[in-house]
Amino acid sequence: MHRSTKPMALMAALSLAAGHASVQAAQDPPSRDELQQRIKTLEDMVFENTEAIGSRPVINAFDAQDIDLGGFFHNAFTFADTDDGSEAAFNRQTFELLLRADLNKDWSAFFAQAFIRDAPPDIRVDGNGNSSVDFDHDIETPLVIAWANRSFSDGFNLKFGRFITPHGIINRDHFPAVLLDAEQPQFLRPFDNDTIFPNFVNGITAEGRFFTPVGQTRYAVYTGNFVENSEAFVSGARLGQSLWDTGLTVGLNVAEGERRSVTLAGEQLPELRATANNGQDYELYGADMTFQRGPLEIKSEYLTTEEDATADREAFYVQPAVDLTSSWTLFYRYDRLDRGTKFGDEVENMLGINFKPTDNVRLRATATRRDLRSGGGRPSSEADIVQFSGTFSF
Amino acid sequence: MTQTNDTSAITMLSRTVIRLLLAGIAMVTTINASADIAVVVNAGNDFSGTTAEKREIAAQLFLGQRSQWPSGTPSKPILRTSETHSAMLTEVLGMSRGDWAEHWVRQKQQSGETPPREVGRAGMAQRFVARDPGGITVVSETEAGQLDDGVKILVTLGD
Repeated sequence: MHRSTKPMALMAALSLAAGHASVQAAQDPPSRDELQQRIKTLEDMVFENTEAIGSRPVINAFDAQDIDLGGFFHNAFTFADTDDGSEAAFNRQTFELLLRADLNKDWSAFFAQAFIRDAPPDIRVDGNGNSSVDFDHDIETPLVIAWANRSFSDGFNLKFGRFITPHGIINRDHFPAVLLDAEQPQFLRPFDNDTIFPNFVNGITAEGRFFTPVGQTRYAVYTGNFVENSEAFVSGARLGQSLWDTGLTVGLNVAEGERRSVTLAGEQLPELRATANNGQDYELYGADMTFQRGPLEIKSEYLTTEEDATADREAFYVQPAVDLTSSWTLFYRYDRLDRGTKFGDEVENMLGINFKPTDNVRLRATATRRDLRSGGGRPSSEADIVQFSGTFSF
Repeated sequence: MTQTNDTSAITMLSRTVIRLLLAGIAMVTTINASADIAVVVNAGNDFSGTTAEKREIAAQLFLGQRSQWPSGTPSKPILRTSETHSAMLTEVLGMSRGDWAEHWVRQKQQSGETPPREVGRAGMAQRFVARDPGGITVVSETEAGQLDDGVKILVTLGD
């Protein structure tokens, strides 16, 4: 929603047109047809402005040159089948309001305020290897993103505030409006965790892009605090390079930081209970790849960490997708996670389909087989999850 | 020796298959060629380069990947509506309408950036460009024959 200057522009255009016509008349009187054409043009402008604004009030920002307001609503229904029975729930409703304000060409700010009712499937495994599922319930109103940006050039921007940690691909994509699967890969769950790296950081980041004969080079360097571990700093960088017009983009990621110390409280999510976070230092190395050409798109990320005093962690996924038509997209994801605990790897195989009836509505159906491999005295087990979700963005 | 020949034959076969696949993808994704289109910029714009370079920079500006011309002048892209917009998607960006929409949904969600302003009439689009040193828009082949003062053609694309 732009701060509209249309009424003023319209008045100015009418005045200019009238003035122009009178000056022109003094020099070279226009023909009747020319005058009729000018009137028709002005009538078209009035009509277009009336359609755009109508009788609604024009909103003025306090001091911003432009204000853009948007957001999305996301809804999910999940069915999970385990050894000890099955459960189903309309388990996620998210309304997120997005707002961007431009003070001028150098300064801007972006905010994402979420209102979330979330009940993720809590899949547990007992000592006999039997899995069971329950839907936890949580209501949150997190300030997801809040940053101000000083743009010096396309090659150098400074952001400070709360931002998405600029690693990999899907964490940067982040929003359900553009994700083929609203459930991000395992290493990014839960939403505000630091399984491999913190999904969000409060701090400062420098980023930009350069254009070379090879393609686009993008970089991001950041430092700050993970919100769940405010006493320690995390720092990292990503360098991405698109290669000519091949549709291939590769990225390299490095980071270092300190894990939080997690108390093994009973009410915490199983992912947290199983994660060995003892306040240790860690280093992260990773690579990501996107290939997009015609109807084919492949995304893949590999990330590994070196943890002090605990086992290292590793995450990998590959997600090929093909556009069957302009509205239908079929995709598959293989997703493996080693949390660095004594337990075995967790592997997900997912098949999904997306349908976009319009550009701003995305409907999805996914079927996932989740394998919890044996290890650390825990027998292997599995669970099947089917999810239907929809996102309306505006 | 036979093994080497076999390996070489397999390599050649693999390359041929990959090329055929890429050609197939290209054929599937090729959008029907449309009429000529001219990319129009402010008359004071001194950007020069090959046709491919001009097309590339126009695409980067319309997609919001660049906010400045290489000279440092802030860019001011102006979109068109209807057939001229469709021709721009095909000839300048090599995108489908769906890809274009997806690109801007992504930009809006990730950083709040919105597409450039749309203008219907060629005359108004040209006046916007003439007023701004970094202005850029597209006009159809017919419209390109009646350019206003203050603008010039950067590159003509199409059949």
